[in-house]
Amino acid sequence: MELKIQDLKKSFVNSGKEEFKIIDIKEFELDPGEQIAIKGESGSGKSTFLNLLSGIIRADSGQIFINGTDIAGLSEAKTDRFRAANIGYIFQTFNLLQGYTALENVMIGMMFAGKPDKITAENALSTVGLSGKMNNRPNELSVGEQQRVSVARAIVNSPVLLLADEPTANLDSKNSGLIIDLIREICSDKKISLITVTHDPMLLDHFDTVINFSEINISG
Amino acid sequence: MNILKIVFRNLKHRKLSSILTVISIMTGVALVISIMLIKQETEDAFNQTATGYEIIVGPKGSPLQLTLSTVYQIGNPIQNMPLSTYELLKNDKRVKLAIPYVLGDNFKNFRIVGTVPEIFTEFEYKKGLNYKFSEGTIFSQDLEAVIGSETSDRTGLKTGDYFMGSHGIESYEGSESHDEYKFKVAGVLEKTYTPVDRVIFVPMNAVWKIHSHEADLRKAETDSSVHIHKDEISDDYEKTITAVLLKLKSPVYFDLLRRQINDNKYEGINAQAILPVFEIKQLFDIIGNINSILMIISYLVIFTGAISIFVSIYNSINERKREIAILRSLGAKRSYIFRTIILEGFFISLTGALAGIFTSHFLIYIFRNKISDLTGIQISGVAYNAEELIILSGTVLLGILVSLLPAMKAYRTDVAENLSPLS
Repeated sequence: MELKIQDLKKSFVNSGKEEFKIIDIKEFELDPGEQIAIKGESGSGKSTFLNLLSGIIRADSGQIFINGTDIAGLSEAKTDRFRAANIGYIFQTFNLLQGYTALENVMIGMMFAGKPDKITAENALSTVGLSGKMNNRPNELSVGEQQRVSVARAIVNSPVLLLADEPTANLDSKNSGLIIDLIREICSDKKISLITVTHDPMLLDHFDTVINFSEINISG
Repeated sequence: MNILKIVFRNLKHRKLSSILTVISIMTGVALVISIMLIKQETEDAFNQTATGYEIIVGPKGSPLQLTLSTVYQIGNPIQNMPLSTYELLKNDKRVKLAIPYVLGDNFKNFRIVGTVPEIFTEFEYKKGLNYKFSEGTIFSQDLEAVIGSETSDRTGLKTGDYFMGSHGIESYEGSESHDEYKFKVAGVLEKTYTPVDRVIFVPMNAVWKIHSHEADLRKAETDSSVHIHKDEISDDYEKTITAVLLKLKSPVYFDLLRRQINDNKYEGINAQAILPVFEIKQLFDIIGNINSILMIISYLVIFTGAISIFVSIYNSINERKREIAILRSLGAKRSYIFRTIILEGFFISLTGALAGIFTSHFLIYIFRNKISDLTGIQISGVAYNAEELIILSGTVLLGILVSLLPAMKAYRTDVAENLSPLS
């Protein structure tokens, strides 16, 4: 997977109706299979950057090429479909659906990519070490296990790009290390490009490439 | 996983709210359909029954009372009139068939009607249909009876059984029974789905004999010289009847004969002649207005149910914003979220409407005997009506319509905002 960003801009209007620029990236590239961590202060726009990459929010201008497809130029419906099939997203708060089992959470992730398959979902849960807890609901799992479910859900469609937004912020130090190693290992095995954003120094130690967000985002 | 599983899981997650909403829709639909079915089946049954009776001649008074007491066995007869009324009409050249009715007694609330055997051989209760016997035959002696099918079913009387009548058209605690006269069941009629199913026919003579005997006993209380007749009718007992059912040789005589009687121009007859079909139409014109009010109330109940669908789903959207955002982040399109909400409204209203239809039929079936007691006609509750499909579709459409606003709210859910960590 090759990621290429050109002249990406995003502004928000605050409650005082003042527009302020949060993202302004001239150029950014990520090589296939590359794993990087982006560090930055809270409120620096890291999460907004990931939301732009995943198409959850629309850029004001610029291009985001993922394997040659400019997702910033796709219609919303096509972006949704592209995201489902090509991008995995791991959230700080796991964002699991509470009324569903671990297996169902993973299968819902597959549903929108158009390839729901129970065996593949079970394999994904086995990969993250949850083969014995597939039928447990999130509230029956520890926080570490919940984040493993969200990892399984993010990788089950074999995405080309995995985005992780503070993936260990809600975990203790032991679980943090285990989870980030797990994510990196899976991405290496499956040749998935990985962008992790964090301000946790301990997490940054696990990455060879760490980029300071202020170096690529000149909005501030 | 598919969209239906997600919809049902959402409904299950809000179990209490979903059930209460379904119940409110069910109540409204059950009310509408019950009123509609009872009205329609009652109206049909009343009209069909009335068509068998061309003209009824009875004592002067309320024409509707005469129709109800003679045709439907509801309410009291007006009064009695002399037997000569029947004899004059029977011998009228314009009359094809005259059947006398004498009301006065009952057995366990099933009315005993004194009449003549021709009612079984010549009278058509509906066009081309004569009474048929499921067992036994026509009465041939004074103290024999022919009973309707429902009378047989509900009293257990069969051919060869004996019973004693009680005075009056309804039984009540302490009502006098005619202990000295036991009727023997000579035959049971096949079901006709008319009020005749609830009747006991006996020879006219038997009714007169019983009441003549009673009159003798009353007189004997003050006058010991009175001879008490048991097996024959006292000479000074006036034989009376309560109505005469007429079939005419030609429809051209309808108006003429009716006017003649009603204008007191028929010599020897002081009575009224009525058309039961006309009386029933007038009755349903009055009932129709009440029925419309009941229908409006029932539709309001359905509307209230629809509002509760709206409230239930709309309120749940606020609680489900994060869930919606998660689904969207996983690749669900806005249209998918919209469809999910619409389907929730669809299934709640569909379930409520189907449950309402089932409930209304079930209740009518359960209370069919009570309805029969009150109206004199039999409603099965089993027959379905094309209008039910319209009510079902209308309710489901309403359910979908009220889901549109919550669906739009869900459609517009901001993904990024609702995925943020909860503070």
